Amino acid sequence: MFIVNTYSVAVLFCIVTMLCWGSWANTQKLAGKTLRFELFYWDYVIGMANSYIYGVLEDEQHNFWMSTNMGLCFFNRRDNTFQNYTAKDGLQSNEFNTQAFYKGPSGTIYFGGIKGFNWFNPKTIKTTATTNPGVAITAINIDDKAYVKNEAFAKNKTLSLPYDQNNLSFQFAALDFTKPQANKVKFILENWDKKWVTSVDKNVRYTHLLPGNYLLKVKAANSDGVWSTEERLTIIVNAPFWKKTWFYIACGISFLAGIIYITYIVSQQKIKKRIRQLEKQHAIDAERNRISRDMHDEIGSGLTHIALLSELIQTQQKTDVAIKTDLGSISVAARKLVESMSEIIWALNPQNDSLENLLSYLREQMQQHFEPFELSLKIVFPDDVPPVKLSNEQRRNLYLVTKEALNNVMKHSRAQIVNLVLEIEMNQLIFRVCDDGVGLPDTVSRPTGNGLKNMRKRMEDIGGTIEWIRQKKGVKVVYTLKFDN
Amino acid sequence: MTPIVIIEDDEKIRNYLGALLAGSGEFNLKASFISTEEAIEYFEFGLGDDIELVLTDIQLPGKSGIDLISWLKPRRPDIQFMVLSVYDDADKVFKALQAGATGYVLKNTSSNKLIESLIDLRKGGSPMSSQIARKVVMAFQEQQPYVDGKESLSDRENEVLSWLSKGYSYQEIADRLFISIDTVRTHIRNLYEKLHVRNKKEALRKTGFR
Repeated sequence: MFIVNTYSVAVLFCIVTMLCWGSWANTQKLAGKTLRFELFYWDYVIGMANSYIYGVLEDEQHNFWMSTNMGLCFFNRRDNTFQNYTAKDGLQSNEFNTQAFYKGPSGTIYFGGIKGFNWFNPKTIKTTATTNPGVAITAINIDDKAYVKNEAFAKNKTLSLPYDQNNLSFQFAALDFTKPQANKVKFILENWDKKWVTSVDKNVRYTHLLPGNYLLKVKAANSDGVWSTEERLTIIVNAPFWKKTWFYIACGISFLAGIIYITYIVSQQKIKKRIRQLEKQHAIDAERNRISRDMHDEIGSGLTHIALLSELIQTQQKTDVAIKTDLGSISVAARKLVESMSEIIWALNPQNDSLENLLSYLREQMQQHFEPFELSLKIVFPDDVPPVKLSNEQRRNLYLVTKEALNNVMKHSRAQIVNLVLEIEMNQLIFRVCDDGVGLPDTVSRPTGNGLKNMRKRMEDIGGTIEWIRQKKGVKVVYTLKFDN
Repeated sequence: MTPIVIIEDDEKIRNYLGALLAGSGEFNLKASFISTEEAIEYFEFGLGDDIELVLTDIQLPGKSGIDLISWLKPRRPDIQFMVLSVYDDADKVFKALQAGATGYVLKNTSSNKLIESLIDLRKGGSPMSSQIARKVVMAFQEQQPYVDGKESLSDRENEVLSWLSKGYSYQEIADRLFISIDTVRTHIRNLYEKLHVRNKKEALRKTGFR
């Protein structure tokens, strides 16, 4: 016999029983005066321990007491609940007998069975329905070792554990001694268990708890099904420091700092490298400068001697005009060489690397150079010169091309006027040398003479262009160079 | 006939200059030296009291021509100093100008040009190349404490200086500013004087005097 808790299951069983064993006939015996017909079907309904009813008595609270083959059954008419009592509750036996029931005048109820009879007054029964059981956590084991704080483990304490002590087991007790074996316990470890767990064993084991905050709640119910208040225990499994938030933040920050530092170092390296490059270049330039000056000192003074000597002889000797002329050529040639060297030195001097410098030098030198001649030289350079830097080669070649162009005009063009003009457009220098002379010979469409070839080569070497354009009168030489700034 | 001395260590050039000066009829070569030390001795003994012009090379054994000028100029501010330079070495020439020289001429110059420059110097003119001019501009741009109004450049002088640094010739500048070429020369001479004064003051300031 077992106690059914749901109505539908009970009905099912009833039908089964009726069909199988004709319990209907059984219940006919009970067709007494006070019983209502629907009561016949409550064999398997709602917690009756046994359906073989020997006797039924109504007590003074108008509730029913029935003796059955499985002890006494109490039916509470107010809330339609059953309460079963067996030999374990102190009855003579579970089996009672026919016709052995009696209700005394004071309300005492007597039931007889095979081993004797029981009597009691329902009024004096203390049900545990009114008393609350207690609950306690009686043992706590951490990593299978007993955890002892103090003997009286107070309510609502907090257990704080390191991350590696995360295997816990608990033992509970329901504090109600009316019918201890009927006591129940249910518990939940909040943040771990999803719902309350009802336990018969009254112990539980949690293994490998992850770092976090948990709340163990446990309740006990006595044999009457009354639940106690909750007993609570806060459990904190501390994360190892390497899993804590501040650690992650610190790691993040140091990682970022690391990156910033590395970037800084790398950029410093780059800067240092660049500085070394510049220093090297500077050293090279300085060396070049020094060499050229040394050479110039030696060669320059030698050439000056030659020039002076020949000039001296020119003035002193009163001999051949031819010799004088030759001596004149020697001194002119020598002086020209010194001048060329000065120009080389000018180009190699790093102090002279600006466009402005080039233009001043050009103007000065060309004026001086062409002063003795009848040719009228007009130089037009922009007044405001942008701060453009030119390399040694660029300066030198522009200078020499200009000099050559002007020399050509002087030597070949028989011109009266020559203009040297510079225009700066976007990032380009445009030089123009225009004369009003006889112009280029017709047979020459491309420059073939050595001088012209040289000019072209010089402009090409620095990445510029040059062209000769025939004018109505004379020639226009245009040479350009792109600069970056 | 202007009394002149020359300091030049190169024998051939010294002889050449001597001959040139003698032949010019304008200058009276009183003495020639091969080093600064010799020249200093000469003046210390009072032998150079009548000298008006000094023509000196910059590169000399021992002390340089610049040292000579630095020593002699304060003692004889009336003397004109012309420096000889192998090439247009703006740095060295500029230093000489700061020390008190009022003219410079390249060794490479033809003979008549050389004499011309000396005569020019005597008249009060001073040559200045564009590179030198640029250096002068920079020198005057440097901030200096306690600058006397008289020592900073006038507007005209600034103008002349800026055209010079662009490479314009004296004639071109004269045309542009509608002044005579002599005026241009005077301006340049004044520029040199102011440069020298400024330099002197700077040197004094560095040694702790005012």
